[in-house]
Amino acid sequence: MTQGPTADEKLREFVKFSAAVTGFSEFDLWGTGQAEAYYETVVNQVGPDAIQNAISSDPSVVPADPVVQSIIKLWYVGVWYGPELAGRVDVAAWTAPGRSGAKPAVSDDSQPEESWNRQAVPGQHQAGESGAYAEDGRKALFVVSSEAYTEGLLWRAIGAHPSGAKAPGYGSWVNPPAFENYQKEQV
Amino acid sequence: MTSYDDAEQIIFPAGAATQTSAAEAAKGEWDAVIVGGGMAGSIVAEQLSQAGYKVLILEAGPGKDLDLAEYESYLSRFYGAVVKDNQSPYPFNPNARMPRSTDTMPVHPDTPRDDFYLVQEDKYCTDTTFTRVLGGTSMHWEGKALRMLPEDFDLQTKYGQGLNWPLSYDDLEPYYRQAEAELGVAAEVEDQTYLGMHFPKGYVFPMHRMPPSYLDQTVARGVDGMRVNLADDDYTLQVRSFPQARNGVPNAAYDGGKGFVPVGAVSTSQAEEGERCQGNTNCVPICPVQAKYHAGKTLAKALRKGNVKIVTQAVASKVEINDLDRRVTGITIKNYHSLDSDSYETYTVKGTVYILCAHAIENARIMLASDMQRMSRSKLIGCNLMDHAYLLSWGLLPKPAGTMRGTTCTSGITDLRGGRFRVTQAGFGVDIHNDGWGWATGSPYTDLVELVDKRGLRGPELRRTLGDQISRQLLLAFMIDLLPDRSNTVTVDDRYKDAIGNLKPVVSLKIPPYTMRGAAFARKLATDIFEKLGAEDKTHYDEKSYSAVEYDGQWYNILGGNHLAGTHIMGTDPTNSVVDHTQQSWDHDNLYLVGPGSLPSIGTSNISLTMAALAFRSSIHIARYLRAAKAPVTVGS
Repeated sequence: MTQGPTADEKLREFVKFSAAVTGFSEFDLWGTGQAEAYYETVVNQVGPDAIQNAISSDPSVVPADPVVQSIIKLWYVGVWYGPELAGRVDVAAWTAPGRSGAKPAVSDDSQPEESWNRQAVPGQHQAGESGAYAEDGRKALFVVSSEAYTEGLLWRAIGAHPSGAKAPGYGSWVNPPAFENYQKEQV
Repeated sequence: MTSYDDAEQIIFPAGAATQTSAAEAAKGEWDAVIVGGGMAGSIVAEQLSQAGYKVLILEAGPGKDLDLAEYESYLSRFYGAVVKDNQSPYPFNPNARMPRSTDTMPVHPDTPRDDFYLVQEDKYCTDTTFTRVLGGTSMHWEGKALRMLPEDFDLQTKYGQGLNWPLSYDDLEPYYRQAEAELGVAAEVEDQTYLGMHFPKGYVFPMHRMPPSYLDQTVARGVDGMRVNLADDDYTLQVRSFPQARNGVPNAAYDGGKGFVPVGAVSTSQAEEGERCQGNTNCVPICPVQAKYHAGKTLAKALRKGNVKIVTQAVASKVEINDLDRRVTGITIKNYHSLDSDSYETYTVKGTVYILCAHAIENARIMLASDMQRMSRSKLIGCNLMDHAYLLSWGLLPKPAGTMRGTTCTSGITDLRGGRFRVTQAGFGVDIHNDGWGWATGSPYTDLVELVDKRGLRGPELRRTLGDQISRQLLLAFMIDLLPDRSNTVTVDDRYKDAIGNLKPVVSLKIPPYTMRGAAFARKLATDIFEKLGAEDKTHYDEKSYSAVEYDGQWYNILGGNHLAGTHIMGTDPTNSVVDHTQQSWDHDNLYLVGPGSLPSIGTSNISLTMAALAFRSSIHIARYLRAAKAPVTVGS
């Protein structure tokens, strides 16, 4: 009788796949310390079968499997945007750090992870639609953890640092930006 | 400790914020009762404490001892928050709510009470905010510390617009220097000597200017020397560093060569934080390392002598007044038990003098909720609400410019802050935003969603495209003057109450043509600058937004600046103003209203430095008042 892959093998497969779709090396991804938390997030949100489907999906097909898109965004900014939020630029606007202002109105709550539980995603709230959470505890939108925010790959991709963390030092902003030479990076 | 490498560590006395309960405070007789533990309240408390007076600070928001753990809980809340707006680090508090840009919307009587704090019934709504925690809005302010121009103080005489101040630039100049020391301002005199701004011979700012960002340098290559003609006058533009209340390199020449020791992080124990700005690019909503000034730094000093006490979770609900002599007899507070419950106790605290330092909207709200307009000879409480009108323009530079690094903003264009054109249109300052298009579009997260979900990018191509696209972003924020207008108001309405029964502020703010003429000119200037820089203009305005304003057939989005002012303006007599030049109420002898509400105009400078300078100036007058009030009574013949 053949054994299925162990939990460890599944996690490694997830990270290997993530490296391919994010453009960062497996070393980079393990280095964030978030691999386990992200794998668990994806399993809890879409189930193990959906991960398998995503991993085996044809990467050249556009639009890609929305689960793949959710996984990429998860690594880049530490936010779980459920597949149902694919393409929702308005939702992305509110989740970005920085000054708010020209963004669409959403419901108020200083504990947004919880508020979305009860209420709605941006744009829907105004229309009085039902909340973005299903009965089974799935959530359409949340930050995985405080660390997930500061470990986002996006900031490395843009030659910067997460807004409010990993500060580069006094006066560092005077020099031209440096981008990591990612093209030569090998796993 | 050498003064050039280290910041002075500020120890907040452990237990200071809990030494006095509201019940005990109500039993005592205080020299001064201050409403609001933000920048103005902290400065006045510290100054009166130095003069030996017993001071009670009433803070509506939460705030235990200011220690690093509490500060870091704000930071951690910010990291974990899904919606990262400018109030996201601070806990949601139904008992002393804050406006949030997330709940900007026209409100109707049947809108659920929990959906908003600022009540705006008009079609145009401002997304302006202020913060209600110990430390006030200084917790989330950006830290720009500009002086007002000399011409801003007599705009009416010079240009026939707005109102004159009862004070001149020269009257306020020594207090500007005092404020620059307290806030720890980093700037160079040679950069700031323009449009008539002047400094005493030999003056230097406490610290050297923040180094201009690579983005600033990129913009300067196109802008420096650009000529603009406006109302028959020629102006030459240049990119100029902004003064900032942020720790940098101390200037050894400060104070006649004594130098300056920056003030570090506030905590109840020694904390190795709060030294030089590290470039976290997160001034708003919270500086992670306390390199930016916040009122806790002043508050900690105020607590050293032991004659200043704080009661938090105490919302001032009513100013009690003796109808016969119109003197204030007490402040009634609702002292709520926790953020999770609406149960509270009511107390009235008493002092010799009362000082409202709760910011422009709350000062007006408290007075109007106390029915004080009926005693006001000017009837101007809550009128003349002002805020800078912000117009954003954004474009994509031809090459990576290092966007998303540095402090939020290091430089801008200030040449059009003043001039004869102010006869017909508003002046403005221009901020070069180091944080890219974030304010306008929600970048960089929106770029990520566009590229991944809509363009189907992934792998190295995604990574490369993000780096290229975001590092080229340029956002120019035009901060446009808004003149005092009696019909821009804060009022109260019995239909709108918060969780513990306090009236919510009802705000009505309209953007007048004078400001919009400035906005239209600003928009044209932005396109000229983009052309000069070879940048692709990406600006678009949404006419369906609550921030939409139409002018001359075009739609613009006018955003709030969080520079609220003008609700109890100062003036020359009781019929044209709410307070005199010392910020003493014309109508209530033992009441001072200290804060941006006293500003009769805001020009084109962020209001905090001017508010701080006025707070220092008023403290002298309040101390004088207390000296006279407490002097032994001499029996006359």
